[in-house]
Order: sequence, then structure tokens, then C-alpha cells
Amino acid sequence: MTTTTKSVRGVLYKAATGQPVEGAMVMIAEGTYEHQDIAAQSDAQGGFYLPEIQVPGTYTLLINYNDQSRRITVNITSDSVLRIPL
Amino acid sequence: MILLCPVCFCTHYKNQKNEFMKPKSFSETLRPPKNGNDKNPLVPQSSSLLETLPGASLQETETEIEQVEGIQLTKPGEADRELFNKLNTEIETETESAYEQVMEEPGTEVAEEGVFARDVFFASYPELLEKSMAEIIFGTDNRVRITPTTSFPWRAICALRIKAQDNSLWYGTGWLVAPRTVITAGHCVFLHAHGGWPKSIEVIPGMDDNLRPYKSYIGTSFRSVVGWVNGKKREYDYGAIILPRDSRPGDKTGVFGFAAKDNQYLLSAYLNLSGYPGDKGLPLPLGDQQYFMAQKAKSVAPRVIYYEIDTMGGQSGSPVWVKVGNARYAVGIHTNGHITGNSATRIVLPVFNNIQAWKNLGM
Repeated sequence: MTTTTKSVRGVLYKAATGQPVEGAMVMIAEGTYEHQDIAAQSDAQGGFYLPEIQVPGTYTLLINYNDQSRRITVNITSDSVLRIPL
Repeated sequence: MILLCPVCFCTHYKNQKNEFMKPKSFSETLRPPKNGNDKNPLVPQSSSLLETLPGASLQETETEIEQVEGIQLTKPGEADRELFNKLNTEIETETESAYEQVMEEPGTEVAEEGVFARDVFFASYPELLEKSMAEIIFGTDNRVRITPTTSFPWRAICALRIKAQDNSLWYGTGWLVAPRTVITAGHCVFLHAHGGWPKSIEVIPGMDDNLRPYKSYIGTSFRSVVGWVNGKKREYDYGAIILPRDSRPGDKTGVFGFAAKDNQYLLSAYLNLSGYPGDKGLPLPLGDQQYFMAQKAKSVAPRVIYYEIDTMGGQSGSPVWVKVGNARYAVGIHTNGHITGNSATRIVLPVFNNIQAWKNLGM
């Protein structure tokens, strides 16, 4: 399978209100491919990036914010934009 | 209750919060080739190991390059040529004398000020070369929190807060080799998809929750190499932050030594790794606690060291070091995670030479 490397954008929002989640820490816990061990922080619009990952691939994200911790497994393709409710 | 990993039957399958962690041990046969550097990794089972450090005499053969769109060729040694964003914080006269052909550069541990050093020695590890030993910290979790962080070497390890050109925010780790030189991953100082060199990086030595015992410093002068900046090659993923002249945390924290070691040494030694993982620190703020783990290498490749030391996002740039007596020598720069083994950019001679030069800039 042909893969390409790219930064994939995602957006975190509160499931109950749709409001963006700012200040969450997002990192890759596991993945199909090797990944950089850097962590991203979501901005005021809830936006974040998964840096330079190989796609398509399956990745498990660890998302920490406030006192919560979530693990989410996602299939990511080259044109994916992740919208993740918390 | 102790849960066993179904893959390797180890006992660290879940962490203290009962969350699943990356497997720590797994069959070598599960590893797919990750890049050209990993097709034939050397593993500890080998009784005779080839030394493949740069400079070794190799018989040349006549070869051709496949014409592939987008491929960029560099001359021998070109990939380790230094690149930087600006030179306004350091002396700009870089001479050949900065590239001494030495393989070990000692660090310095400034005098303790009433702080008890927590690390102690293993009783004995006769199989280790040069009695290289792991830091040992008592505890049951594989990743052990370091607190307080005010003793060496922990205080020379820095949390990094990276603000990219597109204003995205990132967390990483670095380590001091000179009063104002911080070594880290290349992808912490040059983010290809986010504007390249960052706007700034805040360097926080020995961060411990909300404590900043050695204050924090803003770096805007960065270094990396052609192989990373232009080639985006994992094997060249290393760089440095040169802090402003009035920012000299290394004077108080002490600094790491660094060394280029051969395969046999690296496969025999205990590797120590400590940094600032983003999954630790709840409740907020995250990534402000230092965590440590030590283990032997899983395998080594010419420019990469593989290990099963647990890491998580935020630990990019962490030092991977060996302890020899009271000296600490970094032998790698942690950069990547993967289920078949986390990995560091290996300090080989060209990397050593660049770190040496960057160290000189931060004296």
C-alpha cells in the first residue's frame, strides 16, 4: 500500500455543547507506523495537528484535558480532518 | 491484580490508572522494516557484531540511482551539515577546531547544594562494558516520576514549550550540554508542516509540577542539519536551541556529556531515558512532570537505537544516556515511538561533531 507523510489536522469539541476544547494535550499512543513523540496542545478553536504521520494508517490517540483522559482509535487517510467530541 | 500482556507475558500491560500502555516487550519477528536504516538491525543475540560507524573502510561498488520524482541526493556527509535560523546569539566564527575527532565529551555536575542525589548503582553488572550502569530509582511502575528534580542529572533535563510559526503549540524535551545549549529532536526545532523554525521555544530545566527551580528561558536561535531540514530523514532528526547570552541555566544545573559508542557497547549498556511525557500530570497542567525509565537496547542500526523504554508524546528530544561511574554520556536523542520499539537518533561521529560545535556556541 502506498503511504504518504503529512500533518493531519483535528478539532476537539464538547459533545454536549459543540464548543471547542482549548488546552487539551493530544498525542499518539500507538499507531500503524512510527510516529514522532511530540505532543500537541489544542488551540482556542479546539484545533490540533498530528505531526508528520504516515497515512493511511490506524492510530490510537491519547487526549487529556481537565481531569479527563480519553483514548480514541481512528483510521486516518490522506484527506482526513478529525472531529472528535469529548 | 497483576495483568499479563498477552504478547510477551510481561507484567506492565496496564499502568497505575489501569489504562493500556504500549507493549514493552515483543517478538523481534513482529517488526516490519520501518525505513532503509532498519532492514537489518543488529540485535543482542549476535556474537560478532560489525562496526559500521562513519569513516569505516568500505569497498565501493559502481551503482546507479533510480530516477524517482522528488528524490534529493546529498553528497557524502552533506546530510549532517549544519543549518540554522539565525546567529544573533552566539559567536559566528565556527572553525575546524570545533570539530575535534574525539568520541567522548564529558559533562559537568555542578556542586550539589544540600540536595541528596537519588540515583544509586546496581550492585553489579559484570556483563556491561566499562561498567555502564542504569540510573535506579525505587518504585513499581516502569516509568518512575522524578521528584524533586533539583539533583543532577534530572535538573539538566528541560521541558520544552514550542510555539511554531503557525502559532500551533507543541510539547517536547531537551537537555543541556553547555550553559546555554539545549539538545533536542530535530522535529522540535524544525517543524516542516508548521512553518519550519519555530517562533520561540520556552526551555524549563528541571520542571516539577508548577515549580521551575531554575526559572525558564526563551530560545529563538535554532540548529539542525540538512538531513532533517531538507531531507526530513528520521536518521538525522536532531537539533539544538542556543539560548541568549544572558540565559545560562547550565551554569546551575550542570550539563550532560555525550559520546559516540560502538554497537557492542550500546547493546550491552543500560540506557537511561528521562523526559516530560504528555500523559502525566493530571489534573492540569500536563507534561510538567519528569518521568524516567532504563533498559537495555533492543537493537541498533547505523544511525538509530531501538529500545522498549516506555515513552509518550512530549518526550521527543529526551536524552538517552549511559552512566559510567559518576559520568553521564548521552548516546542518543529520543525521537520516535512505535509498537515494535521506540527509538532515538544515535550519536555517531557526525552527530557528535555537531553537538560539540553547538556546545561551543553555548559556552
